[in-house]
Amino acid sequence: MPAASLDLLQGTLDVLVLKALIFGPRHGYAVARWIRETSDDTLAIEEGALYTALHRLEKRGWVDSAWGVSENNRKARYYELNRDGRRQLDAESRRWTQYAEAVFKILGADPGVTA
Amino acid sequence: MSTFAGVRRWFHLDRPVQDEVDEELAFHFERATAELVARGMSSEDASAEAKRRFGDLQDYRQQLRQIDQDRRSNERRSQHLASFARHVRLALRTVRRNPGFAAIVALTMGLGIGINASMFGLLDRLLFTQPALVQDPDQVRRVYVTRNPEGRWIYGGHMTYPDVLDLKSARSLDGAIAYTEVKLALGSGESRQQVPTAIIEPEYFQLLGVRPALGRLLTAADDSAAAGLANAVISYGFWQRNFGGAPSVLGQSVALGSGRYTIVGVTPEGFSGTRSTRTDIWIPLRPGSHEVVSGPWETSRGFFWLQALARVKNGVAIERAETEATALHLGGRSSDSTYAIRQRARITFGPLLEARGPASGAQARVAVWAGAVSIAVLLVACANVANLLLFRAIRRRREIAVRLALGVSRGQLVAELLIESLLLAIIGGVGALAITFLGSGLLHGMVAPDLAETLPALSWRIAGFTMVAALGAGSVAGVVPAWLESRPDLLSALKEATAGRGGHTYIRSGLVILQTALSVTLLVGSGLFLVSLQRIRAIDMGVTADRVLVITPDLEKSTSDAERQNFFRDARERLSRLPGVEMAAISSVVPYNWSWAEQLTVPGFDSLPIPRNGGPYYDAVGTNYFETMGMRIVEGRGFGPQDVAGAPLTIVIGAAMSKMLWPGETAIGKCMRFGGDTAPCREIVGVAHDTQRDMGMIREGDQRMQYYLPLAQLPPSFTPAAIMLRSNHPLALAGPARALLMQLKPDLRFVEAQTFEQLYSPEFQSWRSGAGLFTAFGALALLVAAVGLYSLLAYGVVQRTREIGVRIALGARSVKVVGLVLQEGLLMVLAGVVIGLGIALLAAKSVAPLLFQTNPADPVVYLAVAGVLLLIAIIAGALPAWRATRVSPMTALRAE
Repeated sequence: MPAASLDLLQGTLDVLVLKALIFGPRHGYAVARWIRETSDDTLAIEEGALYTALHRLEKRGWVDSAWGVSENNRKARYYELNRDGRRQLDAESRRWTQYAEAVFKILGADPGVTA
Repeated sequence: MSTFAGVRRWFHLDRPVQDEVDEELAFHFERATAELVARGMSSEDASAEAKRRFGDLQDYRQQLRQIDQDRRSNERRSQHLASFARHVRLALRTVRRNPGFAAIVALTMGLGIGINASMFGLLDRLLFTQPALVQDPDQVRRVYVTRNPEGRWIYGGHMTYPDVLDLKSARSLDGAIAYTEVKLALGSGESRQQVPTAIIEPEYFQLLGVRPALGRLLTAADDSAAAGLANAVISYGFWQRNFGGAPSVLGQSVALGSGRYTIVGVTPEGFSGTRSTRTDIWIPLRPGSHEVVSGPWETSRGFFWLQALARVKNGVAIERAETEATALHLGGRSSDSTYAIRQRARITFGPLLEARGPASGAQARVAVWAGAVSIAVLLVACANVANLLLFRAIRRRREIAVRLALGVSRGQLVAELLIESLLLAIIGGVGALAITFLGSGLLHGMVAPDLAETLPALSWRIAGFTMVAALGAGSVAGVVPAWLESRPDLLSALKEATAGRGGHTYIRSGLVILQTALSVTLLVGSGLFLVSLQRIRAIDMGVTADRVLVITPDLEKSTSDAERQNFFRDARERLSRLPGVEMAAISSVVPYNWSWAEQLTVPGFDSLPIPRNGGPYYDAVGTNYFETMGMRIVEGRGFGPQDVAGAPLTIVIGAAMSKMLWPGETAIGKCMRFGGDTAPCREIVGVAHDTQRDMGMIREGDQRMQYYLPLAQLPPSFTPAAIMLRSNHPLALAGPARALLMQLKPDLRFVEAQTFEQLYSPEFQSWRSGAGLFTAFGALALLVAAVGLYSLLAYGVVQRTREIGVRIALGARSVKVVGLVLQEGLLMVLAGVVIGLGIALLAAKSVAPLLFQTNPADPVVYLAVAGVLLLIAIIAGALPAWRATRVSPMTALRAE
């Protein structure tokens, strides 16, 4: 995979993972399932990559983790967005929206407008 | 979030990272497989699908572990930082709560460290800082002629010019040059100043690898006598000070010494010659230049007035270069049959740093000693601070015990106490910088007056040293109390804090004993140097030094011999009529400044027995010379008005010379030929009491062969150089005498006027330094030790209030109570004195070469010091003892 698209993918992954945690603490599997279902399975993301994103976010201090008990009474590692994480998500989503809007504008532009 | 994070930290921080990752992934696959099975897949297919969705398991697992590992070490680091910050805040609060205590500790530390920092500055310069801007300074060597007459090694730093020429052809050298250093007068009249000048062979700068900051440095072309005005190079500092750094300095002409020089260049900033002292002007050593010696020094192997530097080629071993140089040296002198010690003479290449070379003077040794002494003072200061910290820690026992009981770890407590003492040490270090800044000049002046002016009071190196020393001292002083007081014997600590004797008395006593021992050692040193100084003062110099003013007028070089003779005759005449002058005499020699020697034959002797220090030396003197100087005539008479040209030739000899030549009989009436076999006979008319002219000789008990000739009976080329005035207040005459001479000869450059005492007092410097240093440091250490003892005894009395109260209640008399308190202090001091005297006895052996006719084991000194210490102990104990007698039994018992 070319380096540029990998970078994009990583940045994108971080936003997706942060977003997945906005509804409260979740374990890794729940994050993976939420992203897969919400995107209607169109983003073919390896789940391993999601885990590395989670751990990386924790290392950067945007996400806290702790061991808790899952719905089916199993020990699971839960991730929770902290204040810095929320701020980061806000900033990243805004950036993403601007980016996407810009791309849309270009894709939907009338060819006659340009001189 | 914080609940999560908190819970996680409490229970999972120490689980291995790989376990956590594995467990997390296991949970993931279990859930993923279970869900796929629930959607109707077979368990094998579900498991395979879950794995496919996950990606490369091994790779991701590795990545996850790595990320977690990094995260944890980050967290740990920031935790440590936070706890360190907390400790510092805590320590700051403790310090603020008790500023008096902090001040005492910081002052003690500051003094101890400040003294060391000052000494460090000096030693650093003397022993460790190569002259600045010299290229490959390790290759540049000082040349010494080492001889071994009479089984004693002598490292001669001075050579003749032909001897230096011999070395120039050495193949193992990249050149060798001769130079000498003098102080030359610059300017005239009141604005005249003495400028440290180096007279150099022009290759000097090339050999050192120094480049000019302005203009050019001296070159071989400057060597020629025909070059008219000689050229000079000045130092950057001199340029700034005297010329304001103006580039127009180039080409300016200055009157220096007896000549005029054109400034052609400025050395780079920081370069000030090759010695620890400063050089400001460099002038060429030229065949015509007679700034220091007059005579055929270029060709004669008799003028030992030059020093030499050599650059050893890269890659050539010093020893090999020495061997080659020695061969050349002996080769050059092979025709000289008087070089009797040739067989044992050799060339030694010493380091550029003189103080580390073979001929390092008393100054370097005194400085090293002073360094050792200042370390001893620092140790005393550390012991005292440790004592104070311990004292305080004991008072804080209950608090510490409670905190230990609450689960604060011992490591944390030690860290806290240590950080506190380090903090105090840093405050002390700042104080030390102030003390160094203010006190360095004083200390340097005491140890090395000639270096004092060029030594910076503070530099980055010194500041760095100060802070390192402060942290070192803080750790040393803090670690023992911290360790001891964090011992988790909670119960006893809690109990002891309220009753009975404070703990660790043995350690605190040990510290007091250490302090006492060190101050005893220092005081013994001070005693030995004081005795030395006293012995020196008691030396019969042979002249009444405090009543003689020595006047040396600086005449233009061009003045003819006849003019000189006339000037001195007139000057003596006029000066002797000045009010307050009892007598005046002229002399060709200023004793202590130089000596003359000439061939002398005595009928009846094939050759004269020449003492180790050379000679015989002569002074050509005028009428009334002996009376003016206060030199006793032992036998016969001194020179009078009758000893003029045409009258019978006369001579006076020194008592030592008389004894050496004619032991047991009179010298009067004997004949001496001044100038060799063919010279006319001079009759010895008097024997003069010997004068002392050289401290080294006095120390070694060497005799000096000295004789005196009447100036009036010598050819005009024997010109006078000085006029001696005898007066009850010689210094008061300096001004009038100077004015009178300037009036007599307006083109006179300058008139030096010093008492004889001032003239020779620099010779006493090393003993004065030693005495001053040891006394000052010893007194300081004694004070610190006394305070330490006092605090220990006072504390003991407080701790034993109940015991003392009970004893008083049971009828103990005051004497008994006082004895009880004093006994403890005296025992400690006695132990300290014994140990200290032992150390002093051992150390004194190595300080012996610095002493003057003083037994390093002088019992009087040792007994006196012991007495002083015991007296101090009694004084330090008096107040606590008195307090003990005032203990009221009732309050003592109720206090519990």
